Formats: sequence, C-alpha cells, structure tokens
Amino acid sequence: MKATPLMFILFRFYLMSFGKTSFGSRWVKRFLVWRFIWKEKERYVASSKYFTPDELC
Amino acid sequence: MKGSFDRFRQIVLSQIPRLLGLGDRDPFSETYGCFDRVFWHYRLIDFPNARFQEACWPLSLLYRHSFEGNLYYQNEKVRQWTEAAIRFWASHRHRDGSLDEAYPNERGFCVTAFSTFAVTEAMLLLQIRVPNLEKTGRWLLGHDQPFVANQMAASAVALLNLYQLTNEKRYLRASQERISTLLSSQDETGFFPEYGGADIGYLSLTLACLAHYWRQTKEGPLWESMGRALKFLEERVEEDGHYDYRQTSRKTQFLYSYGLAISDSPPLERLTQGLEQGTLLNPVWLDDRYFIQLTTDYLETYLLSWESRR
Repeated sequence: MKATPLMFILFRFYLMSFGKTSFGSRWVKRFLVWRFIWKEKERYVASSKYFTPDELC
Repeated sequence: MKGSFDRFRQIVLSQIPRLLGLGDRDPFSETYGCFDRVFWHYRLIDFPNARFQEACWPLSLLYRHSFEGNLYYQNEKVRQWTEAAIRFWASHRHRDGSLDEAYPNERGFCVTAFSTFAVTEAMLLLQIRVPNLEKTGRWLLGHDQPFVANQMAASAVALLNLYQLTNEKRYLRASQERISTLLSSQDETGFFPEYGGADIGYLSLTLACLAHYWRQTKEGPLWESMGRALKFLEERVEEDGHYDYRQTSRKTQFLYSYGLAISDSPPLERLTQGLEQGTLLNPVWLDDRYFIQLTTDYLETYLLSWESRR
C-alpha cells in the first residue's frame, strides 16, 4: 500500500494534536505514533493468508 | 473398535486446513516455514514459539500415507511446506542447539525435546536432512528434567531419532539411560511423576512417547512398565473417556490416544466412546498452542489402526 498525501496530512495533524509537552517526551510520542502507524499499515496490507485447498494445485 | 477409528480420521482432517493456515507458505517470505502465525503474520511477538514447528510431523505423515479424505498424500506443495517448517526450526535454534517457547533465550528443555522429537520424525519419514543436528543432540545430552516424565520421555525418543539420523551411538546410549531413569521413577501404582504427583493427561502423553520408543526398540521391561501405567489409567478413566482432573498434579484435561492404542487397551475404547458422543476434549476444542500435538496423536492412532486392518 503506497503512502498517500492524505496519510501525510493526517499524520501531521496527529503529531500537532499532542500539544505542549517536554522536548524528550514529544519525540518519544512521535516515534511511538510513527511505529504504530507503520505496524498498522503492515497488518492492513497483509492478506489473511489462511489455507484453502486450491493451494494444493 | 474398527469403526470408531474413523472418528479420529475425521477430526484430524478437519484440523489440517487450520494447521496449514498457521504456516507461512510464501516461499519468498523471510519467515517461510514458520508456523507461529502470531509471529510471522500478526507480528505481535518478537520471537517464534518453536513448538509450532511440530506441524511438520503430521504434514509428513499425511504426505506419506494414503487414506480416505487425505488430499495431502504425495502432494508436492505439502512436502515443500514440511521441509520449510523443518528448515525454519533448524535455523532458529540457538548456537547451543536449544530453542525457545515462552520467552527469548529461554533455551527450554520441554520445547527442545518435543520439537526435536517431532522434527526428527518428519526428517526420517521424508528423508530430509538439516545441517548441524549434533548441536541439538549435544544440548539434549547435557540437559534433562527428571521431575517431568512426559518431557523425559519425549527427549528419549528425540535422542533415539537423532541416533537414527546421525548413527552416533552416544545418542542411543543416552536415550536408553533416559528410559531407565523414567522406569525407575515409576510409582508402584503405575504413574510416572509429573512434578511429584500423578497427572492423567500427561501420563497419557508419556505413554504415547514411550509407545513410539517401544515400537522401535521392543524392550521387554519398557512394555511391562507401560502395562502398569495403563492399569493406572484404566482404574481412573471413565466409560466415556472422562476423569476427575481436579485431583491430578497438573490438572490437564486431555487424553492422548497413541499409547493406549498400541495395546488396544480399555481406556482407548472409552476415549473413542467419548469422541463418538461428542463429549470428550479433542483437538477441535483446543487452542492453537496445543492442537497440533493432539492432532498428530490422533493421526498416529488412526494410521496404527489402518496398519492393523491391512
């Protein structure tokens, strides 16, 4: 799944919504959000990959 | 009893699509051959539970044996997936040959013994070899779990299989010593201790492992010991395969069948009756973590009955 401009906009909005925090915790939160979105993307992209008998052919 | 074995076949075949779904079947994937779906697909954990690689054993049995409803007989894809599972197991061993089940760097005896048992069975059936089996053999030689009979029994068969694969007599000697240790720990009433007490479920698993060992070695004292353990079960397993698990040392609810089938014992009839009635715990009801092992057990029992009917 390719990243779209809308995704970047939403991501920036998400980061901006954190408000005023200390410098260190702000970057920790940004990393955690990025990592969460990245992992979610992987889960979304991956098909269910269940086995069906047609795979035997 | 002949008709009752069909229930084993039905249950096994119902579980195979589920089992295959646990495996990464994409040959271009970094985790090709991994059967821990929570690891390779959902990525919710950072290391694979090696016990899931035991899926290679029932797959190898299905590949090798033709019977009613078995779509997997001599199917090349099944063989490839089995080999991939074996190679994934081999490549995820620690440097010392051990494996992890519950946490990183666990180097667990249970997981190493049982997974080696299953993987070596599949290797023997399909004539597949992986490099450096010896490091796992060395690890098993140097570790044991004398308070847990089922794990000791599994390690004994694993060592026996390693001897068949490598021809190294030290594995054969070690397997014989394990069996001797096990027999000497048997209680006079017939059970093998599980953390100091009797557990019906684990006793049936121990018997299943010992039955595999006995089929290869035909040792007399072992057969007698198994007879005493079966007597213990016979006195406690009810007509429909149920027993009071609340009084046992590990409170397990399952009943493995292969050790009962090898001698066509009364508890086997009771187990099959429970399956026919649909009231007995069976692989369909187990969680992903343990259904593979009981499915394999049921498959082995069905194939044993198949052999005896030929």
